[in-house]
Amino acid sequence: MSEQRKTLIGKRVPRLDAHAKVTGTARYTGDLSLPGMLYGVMVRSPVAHAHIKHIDVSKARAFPGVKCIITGNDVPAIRYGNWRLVPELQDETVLAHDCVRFIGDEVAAVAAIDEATARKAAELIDVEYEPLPAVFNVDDAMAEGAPTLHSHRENNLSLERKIDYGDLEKAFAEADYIREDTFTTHAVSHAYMEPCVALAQADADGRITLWTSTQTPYYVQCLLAQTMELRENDVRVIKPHVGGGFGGKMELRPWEFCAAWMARETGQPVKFTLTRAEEFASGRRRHPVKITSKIGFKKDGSITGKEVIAHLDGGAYNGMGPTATFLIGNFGAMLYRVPAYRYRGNYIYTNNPPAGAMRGFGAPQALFAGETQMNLAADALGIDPIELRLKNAMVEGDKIPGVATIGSCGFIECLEKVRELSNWDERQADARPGEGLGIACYSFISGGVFNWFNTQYTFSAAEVRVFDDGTAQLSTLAADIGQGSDLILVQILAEELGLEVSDIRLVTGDTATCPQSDLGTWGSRVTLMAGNAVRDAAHKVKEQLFDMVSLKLNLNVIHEIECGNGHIYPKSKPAHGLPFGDVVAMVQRSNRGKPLKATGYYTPRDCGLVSPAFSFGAQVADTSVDLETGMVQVNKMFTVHDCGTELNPMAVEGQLEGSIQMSLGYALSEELLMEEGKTLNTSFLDYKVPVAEDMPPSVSETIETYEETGPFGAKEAGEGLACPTAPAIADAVRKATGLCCKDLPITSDKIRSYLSGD
Amino acid sequence: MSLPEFNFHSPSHTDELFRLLQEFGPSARVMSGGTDLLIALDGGRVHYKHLISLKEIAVLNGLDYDSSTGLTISANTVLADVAAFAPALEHYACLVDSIEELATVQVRHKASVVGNICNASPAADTATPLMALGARAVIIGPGLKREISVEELITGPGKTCLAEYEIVQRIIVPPPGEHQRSLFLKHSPRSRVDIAATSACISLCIQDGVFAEVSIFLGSVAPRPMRAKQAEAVLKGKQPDPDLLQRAAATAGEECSPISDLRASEEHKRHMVGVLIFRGLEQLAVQT
Repeated sequence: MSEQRKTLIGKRVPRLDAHAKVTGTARYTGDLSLPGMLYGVMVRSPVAHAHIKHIDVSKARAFPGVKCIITGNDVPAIRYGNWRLVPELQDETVLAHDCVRFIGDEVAAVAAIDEATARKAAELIDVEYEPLPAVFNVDDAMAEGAPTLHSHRENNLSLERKIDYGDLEKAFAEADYIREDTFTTHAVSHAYMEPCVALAQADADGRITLWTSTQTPYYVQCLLAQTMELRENDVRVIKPHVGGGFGGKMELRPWEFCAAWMARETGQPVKFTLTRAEEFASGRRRHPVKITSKIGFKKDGSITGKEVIAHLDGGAYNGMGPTATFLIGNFGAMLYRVPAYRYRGNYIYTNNPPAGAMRGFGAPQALFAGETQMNLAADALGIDPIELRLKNAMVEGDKIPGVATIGSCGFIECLEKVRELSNWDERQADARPGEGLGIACYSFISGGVFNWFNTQYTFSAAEVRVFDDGTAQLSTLAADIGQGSDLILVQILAEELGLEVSDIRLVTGDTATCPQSDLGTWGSRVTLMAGNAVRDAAHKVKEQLFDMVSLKLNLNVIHEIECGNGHIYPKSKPAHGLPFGDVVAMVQRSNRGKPLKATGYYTPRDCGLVSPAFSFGAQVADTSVDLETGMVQVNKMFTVHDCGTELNPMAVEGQLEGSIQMSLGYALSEELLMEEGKTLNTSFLDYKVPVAEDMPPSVSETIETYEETGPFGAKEAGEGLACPTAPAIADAVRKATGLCCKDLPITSDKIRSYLSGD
Repeated sequence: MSLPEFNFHSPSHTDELFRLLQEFGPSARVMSGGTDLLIALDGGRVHYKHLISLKEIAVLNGLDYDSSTGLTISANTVLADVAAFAPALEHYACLVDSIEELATVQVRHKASVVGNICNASPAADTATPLMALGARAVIIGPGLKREISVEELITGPGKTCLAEYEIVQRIIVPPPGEHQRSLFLKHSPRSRVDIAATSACISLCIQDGVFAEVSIFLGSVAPRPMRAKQAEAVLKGKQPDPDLLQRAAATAGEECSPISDLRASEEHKRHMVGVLIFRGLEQLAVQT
C-alpha cells in the first residue's frame, strides 16, 4: 500500500461486454425464447389515410394455429405518448381506431404457433378502408383546405415553439450584412443493427413481464401500464443487450403492447420480431425539416441577430417531435453569441410515417443549416470561416437569456486546434479544383432538463452495495444500448470506491430490481446524470466506511480519508489503510448484520431550460470530388472536441468513429425515398449505409475542460459529434465544385447535374 | 428472415434433377448458392414450392482452363473461386474485376457465377464481362444438350431463354485473342458492397495501331445487359485518340435506354455510361 493511488479516470478500459458480443454469447431479446411461446405479427395499413369501415378477422381466426387476434376494437382506446406533461400532445393509440394515417399504421395483431402461420393469418384479415385525401409534405399539409389528420389540429399544425430574446429588428437594422437561406433536410433511418423485438409473459394474476429492445425501460413500463389499464408496478420491463437505438427505441411501441396484451389473453408468452423491411417502411425516422435562416453581421464579422423558422415534417403522429421542434430552435443559436434571436418552430402532421428522435435530436438539421450559412457568410464578408467563428464563439459564462448559461466551454481551443491539425491556413491558400477542406462545428446537450414525461421520480438513480469480500454491486436502470455506458458507470463507481472494474457486479435493465428510476438513454444524458447518481450513492456508502476507518485508526478529525487500490486510508498516510472489504465487514458488524448499501439520485435543477452542460467541437472534412461523376470521396476527418473530462478515451473514440460513419451516410448516401407516403427503399440494398471501406481515416484530439455539473468533470460525447460532419462535407464540396448544396443529401447526381450546368 | 415454406430437394445425379424439374414444372427453381433467390423468396417477390439444389451433383462442379477451349465455369463454381483462379486473373481481367466489385466476401464465397447469370438481373456484375468476352452457355435438359451465347441467354429482367426443365451446365469463355485486353467499371453510391447504378465492360484488341476488335456491354441501363453496338462501330478500325474515345463514350450514353429509379436518374445513368466508357477506353488504349 505504498504505491501511488491509481485512478481509472481517463484510462483506456475495454468494454465490459466486448467478449460476449464478439463471441456471440451476449443475449439480445431476439435470442430469448420461452416454453409455449407464440409468434406475433403486426397487420399494417397499406394506405396513407383512410377510415376503417370494417375489419373482418373471421377467416384469420379460423386459420389453424392462430391463437389470438386483436384490433383497435378489442383494446382500450387510450391515447399515449412520451409527452405526458401535455396530454393533448399524446395523439397515438396502440392500434388504429376508425382511422389510419400512414402506410404502416398498426391496425391489428396476430399471435400464432409459429411465424409463418401468423403471417398467413395476417393476410386473411380483411380490412375495408374508405380512402381519405392525404398530404405528403409540409407545404401541402399547411395549404388552405388541406385534409386534416387529427381533428383537434387545424391546418395540421401540431404545435409551434418559440424562442425570443433581444431586439431583432434593431439587430438587423444595425447589421452591415444580412443573408437569408433556406435549407431542407431529408428523412433517414436509425438503421440500428438489431430490429425491434419484444417478448411478453403474463403471470396468472395478470402481471406482465416484457423483455424488449428499448432504450427507455421506464417509459415503456409506465406507458404499457397506462395503455393496458394496469398499475405501473404490475408491469416489469427487462432490457437485455440492445443492438443500437439512436433515438428510435425510446417510446412505447405497438408491438410491445400487443405482445403483453396477447400474452395475457392467451396465457402464453408472445414474441414480436420486426423485419428490416418493416423497420424501413414504417419505423421512426429523422425529421425532414425546412429551415429558413436569416442572420445579420457587422463588417467585422460579429453577429448582430438571427431568425430561424423551421417546419418539421412530423409524419402522422407527434412522437418525440415536440422536443425536436424546441431543440432545433435551441441549436439554431448555440455555438455563437447571438444578441438577438427569434425562433419559430412548426411541427406539421403529414401522412408520412412518423418521425422521431434520432441521434442529435434536431441538432443535425439545425447545425447543417446554421454552419453552412456561417461558411457562406464568411465568404461574403471576406473573413476566414475559422476567424469568423472565433470572433463569435461562445465562452464559459455566456448566457442565452432565459434558456441556459454555458458552463465549461473549450470551443475557441477546438477551433484553434482543428485549424492547426488540418493545416487549414495552408490549404486555404492552395485551393485546387475537385478538392476542398470544409469546416463545421457543434454544441450539444449533456442530457435534457425538461420533464415532458412528467416523471414522479428523480431523473437518475443508482444503488450501490458493498461486500466484505471487497466487491461491490451497482444497480441502475440507466440503459446501455450499445454505447458503452455500463462500463462508464462501473468505471465511475470503481474510481469512487478505489476498486477495480472487475470488482463490480452490474445489475441493470430491469424495472423490478433497479432503483426508481432512470429516464433511459437519450439526449446524451447517461454519463452525466446516471454518473452523478452513482457518485451520490458511492459518497453515501463511503461516509459510513470513512466513519469506521476514523474510529478504527483513531484519526484526528482533520484527516481527509480516501479509497484507493482496494484500501481505505488517511490521505496523508496512504500506507496506514485498511482493506476495503475489512472496513465493510466492520460497518456491517456495527450495524448488527445489516448490509451496507445506499441509493444515490440525480435530478438537474436550476440549470435553465435545456441542459446542465454543453459539449463543443469543430470538425474539418478533407474531401475530393470527381468532377466528371460527382462522386464525393472524404479523404480524412479532423475532429477536435470538448467533452469535459474524457472518462474513457476508447469509449469516446468509439462514439466519434460511429458518428462519422452515420453522418457520412446522412451527408452523402442515406435517404428514405418516398412516394405518396410509401417508403420505396426498404432494404439495405437500396438504403445506402456507408460500409467499412467508405470510412475515411480520422484524426482527433480532445480539449479537456472540467465541467462542474458532470461526474469527474465529464460531459457528453455521444450525439454532438453526429452533427458537424454533414455541413463540413457540404462546405468541402462547395469549395471543390462551386455547388452550395442546401438540400441534403449531397448525391453524385446533384453534383454532376450542377457541374454539367443542367 | 421469414422464408415461406418450400420443399428442398438435393439430387445427386442429373437424371434425378431432370425428373424433379419435369415433375414440378414452374413451381420449382434450381439453386446454386441462393444468395439472390432466398432473399427474393423472403421478400415475397418470387414464389416457388420447390427449391432444387445443384450442390450435390458432382458433374456440375469444376473450374478449368486450357488454351484451346478457354475457361470452363461449372454450375456450382462460386464467384470467389473464379476470382482466385490464376488463368482467370491472367486472361480475363474484366471478369475478375467484376467479381471483386460484387457484393461481399461472404456472398462471393457462396454465390455461383452461373446463378448470377441465370438470375438475369440487368445489374448482374458478371453478365457484361461474360458477354464481352463472348462466353457461351452449355444448356442441358432431359436427353438434350445445346449451346448458346450468354448474351442470348438473358432475355429480360429476371428472364432467360431456359425451358423449365433445362439448366446451364457450364459457361465456356473462349481463349483470349492475341492482344486482347479488357476491364470492368462500375458506378454505385457506395465505394464497395453495392449494386451497380451503372456498369460497363470493354474487351478489345488494338492491332497495327487501330481498334481491331471491340466489344462493349453495359449494365443497369436497359432491361437486360446490353451491347453498345453503335459505340463499338465508332471505334472499329480507328486509331485511338481522345476525340474518338469521347465520341464513342457519348454514343454509348445515347444508345442505352436507362430508366430513372431509386438508384439514379435516367440522365445521371446516361452521363455515367459516358464517363465509364471514356475512362475505360482511355485506360485500355494505353495498356501494352
